[in-house]
Amino acid sequence: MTPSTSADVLVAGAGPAGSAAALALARRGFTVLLVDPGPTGPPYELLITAPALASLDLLGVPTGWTTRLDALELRFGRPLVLSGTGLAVADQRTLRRTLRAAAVEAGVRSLTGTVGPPAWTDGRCHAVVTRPDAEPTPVTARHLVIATGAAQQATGEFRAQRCTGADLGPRALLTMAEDGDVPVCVWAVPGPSGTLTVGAARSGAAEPDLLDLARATLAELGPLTPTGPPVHGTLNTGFSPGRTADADGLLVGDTAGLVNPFTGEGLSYALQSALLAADAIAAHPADPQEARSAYADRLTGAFIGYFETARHASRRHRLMWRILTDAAGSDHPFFAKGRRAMLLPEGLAGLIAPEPAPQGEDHGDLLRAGPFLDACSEVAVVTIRREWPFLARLVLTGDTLGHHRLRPARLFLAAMLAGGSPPDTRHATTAAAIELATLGALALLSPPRRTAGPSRGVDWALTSAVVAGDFLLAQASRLVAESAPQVSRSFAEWLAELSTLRAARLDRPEDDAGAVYASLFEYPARIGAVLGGCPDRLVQAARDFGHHCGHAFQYAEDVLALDGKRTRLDTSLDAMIESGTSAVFEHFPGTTADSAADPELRGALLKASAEACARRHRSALDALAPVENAASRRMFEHFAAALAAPALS
Amino acid sequence: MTTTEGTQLTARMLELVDGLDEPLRTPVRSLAARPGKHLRATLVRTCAGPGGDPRRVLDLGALVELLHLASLLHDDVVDHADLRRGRPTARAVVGDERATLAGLACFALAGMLAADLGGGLDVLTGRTVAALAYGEMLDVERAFDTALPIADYLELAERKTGDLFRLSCLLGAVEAGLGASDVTALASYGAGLGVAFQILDDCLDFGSAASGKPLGTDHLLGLFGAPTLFALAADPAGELAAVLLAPGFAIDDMPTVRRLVVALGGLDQATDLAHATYDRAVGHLGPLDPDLSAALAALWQVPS
Repeated sequence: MTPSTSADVLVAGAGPAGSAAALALARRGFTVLLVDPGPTGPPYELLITAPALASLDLLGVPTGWTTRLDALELRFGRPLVLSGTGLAVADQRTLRRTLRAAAVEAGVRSLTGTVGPPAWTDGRCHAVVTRPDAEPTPVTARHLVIATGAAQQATGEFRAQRCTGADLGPRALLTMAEDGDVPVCVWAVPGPSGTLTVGAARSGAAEPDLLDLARATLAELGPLTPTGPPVHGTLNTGFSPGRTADADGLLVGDTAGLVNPFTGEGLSYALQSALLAADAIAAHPADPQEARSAYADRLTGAFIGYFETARHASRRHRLMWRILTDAAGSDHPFFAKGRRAMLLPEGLAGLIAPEPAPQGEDHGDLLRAGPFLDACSEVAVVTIRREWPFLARLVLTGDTLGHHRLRPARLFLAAMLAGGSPPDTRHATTAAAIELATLGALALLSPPRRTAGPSRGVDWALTSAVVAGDFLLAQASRLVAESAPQVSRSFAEWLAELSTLRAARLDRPEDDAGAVYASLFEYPARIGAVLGGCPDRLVQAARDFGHHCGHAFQYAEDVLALDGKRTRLDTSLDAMIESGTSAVFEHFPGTTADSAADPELRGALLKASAEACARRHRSALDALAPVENAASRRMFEHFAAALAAPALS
Repeated sequence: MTTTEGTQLTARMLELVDGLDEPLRTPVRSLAARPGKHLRATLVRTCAGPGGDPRRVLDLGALVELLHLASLLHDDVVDHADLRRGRPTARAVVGDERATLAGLACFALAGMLAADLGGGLDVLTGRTVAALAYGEMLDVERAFDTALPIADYLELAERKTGDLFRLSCLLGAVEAGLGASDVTALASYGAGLGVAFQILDDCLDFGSAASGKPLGTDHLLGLFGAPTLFALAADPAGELAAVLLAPGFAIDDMPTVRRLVVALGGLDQATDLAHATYDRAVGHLGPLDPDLSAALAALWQVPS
C-alpha cells in the first residue's frame, strides 16, 4: 500500500458538480483531491441554462466554448416560443474537460479511480481509492464531497444521441411524448455543423427504444439519422432534505437528486450546489459536521423544485404534467409563469447576484428593505412549497407581478415606512399573505376558457387555475388572520372587490379597464400604511398612489404587448384582448386581435397607452405629496419608476 | 333543524349575500336560495345547545353554510357540472368565469362574517378554508387513479368534508361555553361524522337518486368513491378498472359499474366503513351531556 494521501477536501466524482466544487474550494485555498474513474463519455450537446452560465462566471470559468441560443421552443400542443431564457449549448465532453482542467490549474490534485466507502475517525474521513493501473490508495481528508452521480439512487433514465437531418437554428426545442402512460420529456438542441442532439427523459426504467420515441416525436423536424453513439444515463430526482442531512459527506448535483423532474435538467443545480458546498466548507473549515449541516440547511432553503411528501409526490408530479400539457397553448399569466417555473431553473436564492441597483437607489434603502423582503419571501415559500413547489419558486424570485422590483411587498414596505416607524419584520407575514393573494388572484380572476369540447375527464387548465387560486387565497386568509387579525375584514372585502371588479369587466371590458390592477396595488399600499401606524392623510396618500400605480401597470402591460415584448404577466396582446384584460378598448373601443394587427392602429395604440401610463405615473408621484419620510418617498418613487419604465423609456 | 329555523337561516344568508354587488350577487343568491339539508348549520345549532345568543348561533350557521356554498360553486366549475340541487349550476347559467368569481365572492363574504363575529373566528375559519382548498387539490390530482389506497381516500374525505363538519361542531360548542375537553370531543365527533357522511354520499351513486346530481358524474371525471375503490381493490382481473378507464366511458356504463361494484363487495365494504367511522365518531360523545348526544344522534336520521 502506498502511503496515505491527505487533503483538506476529498471530492468523489469529477463530473460538473464535483469539478466545480473542487475548483471553488481550490480557489479558496483548500487542498483538494478529486477522484474519478476517468471517461467523459461520448460527445453530445447539452443545454446550459442561465443559472448554469452564471455559476460558471462565478467560478471564473470563461464560457467561450458555449454557443448562445436565441430561444426555447415549447411544443406541448400549440408551439410557444420563450425568449429571454439565456440558454446556451455545448458539447458535454467540452464542459467536463473544461471544468476538470480549470480545477487542476487551480491546484486540485486529480486521481483516476473510485472512492470506496468512507469511514470517519477523529474528525477526518478515510477511504480507499481503487485504481485501474495502480495500487489501491488510502486517502484521508477533513471534508468529503460526494459527486458520484445518480446511478446509486436512480429514479429515472435518459437517452441522448447526436443526429443529422434537421436545422434547428439558434433555438432548443422541448416537447412531450408518452411511453405507455408515463410522460416523457423530449428535447432537441442544436450542435456543430448541422447536427443536433435528440434526447428523452422519463421517470422509472426506460425501454431501449426511448430514442426511437424521441425521434418519432420530433419527426416533423425532418428525417433524423443518428451520427453518434446512443447515450444512456440515469436520473435522480429524489432530493430530500433528510437524505442530504444524513449523508456521510456533502451531496452535490445528481447525487443529491437536484434534478428538474419534468426535463431531467440537472446541470444548473449541479454547479450551484457545488458553490454552496464550497461556501459551507469555507465557513466551517475545521468542522466537517458543521459544514455538512450548514450546506444541508442552505440547500433545503434554496432548492424548491421537488415534491416533498413522498406519499403524494408521484400524484402531484402527474398533476403538474397534466397542467403543463393541457395548458400548453395558454397565454394566461398563471400558466405562462407556471410553465417557466416548471421548465426553466432559477438561480438559487442568494447565489446568483441580482441585477445592480438602479441609479439613485440608496444603499441604506437596500439595507432597510432586504431583510423585510427576505422574511416575506421565506414565509410565502414555506407556506406553499409542499403543495405547489413551482409556484413557490415564482414567489422566491419575487416574480408575482413579473419583476422583483414590482413585488407587492415593496409597496407594502414603502407605505409602512411613510409614518416614520422602522420596518417591522413582524409584518412580513402579512406582506407575504398579500403576495400569495395576488398570485391567487391572478389565477382566479381570469381562468382560462375551457379547452375543447366535452371529453372524458377534468379540464386540467381550468381546474388547476381554480384549485391553485383557492389554495393560495385560503393560505393568504389564514396568514392574515394569524398575523394581523385587525385587517381580516378588509382583506375579505378586498377579495370581494376584486371579484366584483373583474365580473364587471367581463360584461363591459372597455369600462375602467385598469380597475382590477388598481385594486390589486391599492390594497398592499393601504394596509402597509395602516399597519405602520400612519395617520389618515398618509394612508390616503398610499391608497391614491397604489390606485394610480395599478392603472399605470395596466397601460404598461399594453405598451409591452403592443411593442411585441415580454409582458410582466407573461401574456400576449391577443390573450389580453380576448380575456378583456387590456385597456386598448379605452383608446379605440371595439379593438379586436385582428384589428390590432394593423401596424397603423398598433402604433396609435402604443402611443396612447404610453401617454396614459405616463399620466398615471405623474398622478402617482403627485399623490406622494404628504409623504415626508425620505426613505419611504424614495421607495415609492422607485416602485413607480420601475412600473412605468416601459412607457417612460 | 326545524322548518322555521331553516327559513330563518336561509333568510339570514340571503341578507348577507345581498351585501354583494351585481353581477355576482345573482348567481350566489340563486344557490343560497335553494338550500340543501343545512347539515353543517344544524351541527352548529345542535352543539350550541339551548343556551347561546340565538342571533350569533344563526350567524355561525350562516358562516359554515357560506363556506360550503363557496366550495360547491367551485366544485361545479371543476366538475363541469350542469345540475346542483335539481337546478342548473351557476356555471351552467353564467359560465365558468363568472361562476368562479361568484365562488370567490362567496368565500369573501364568509371571511367578512368571520371577521365581524370576532373571537378569533377568522383564524379558525382560515385554517378550515386552507384544509378545504387542500382537499380540493387532493381530490383533483387523484383522478383516474384506480389504485388509490383507501387511506388516501380517507385523507381526502377528512380535508374536503370532515374539516368543515369539525369546524361546525367546534363553533357550536364554543358558543355553548363548553369546557375544553368537551369542545375537543365535539370537534372530533364532527370530523368523523363528516367522513362517514362523505362515504355514505359515495354509496348513493349506487342507491336511489336522491342527491339531485346525475349519477356517475364523478366516475366520468375519474373521481372514484369508496364503494368503487373497495371494488377495484378486490378485482384482481381488472375488469372494473378496464370499464372505468375506457376513453369512451359514458353515463350509460354506470349500470355495469354498479353491477361490478356490488358483486365485488365494494358497496358492502363501503357501507361497513361508513358505519364504523360513524360509530367511532359517536364514541367521542361518551362524556358529554346525554341530551346533547341524543340530539346529535337524531341528526343521523336526516336522509343522506
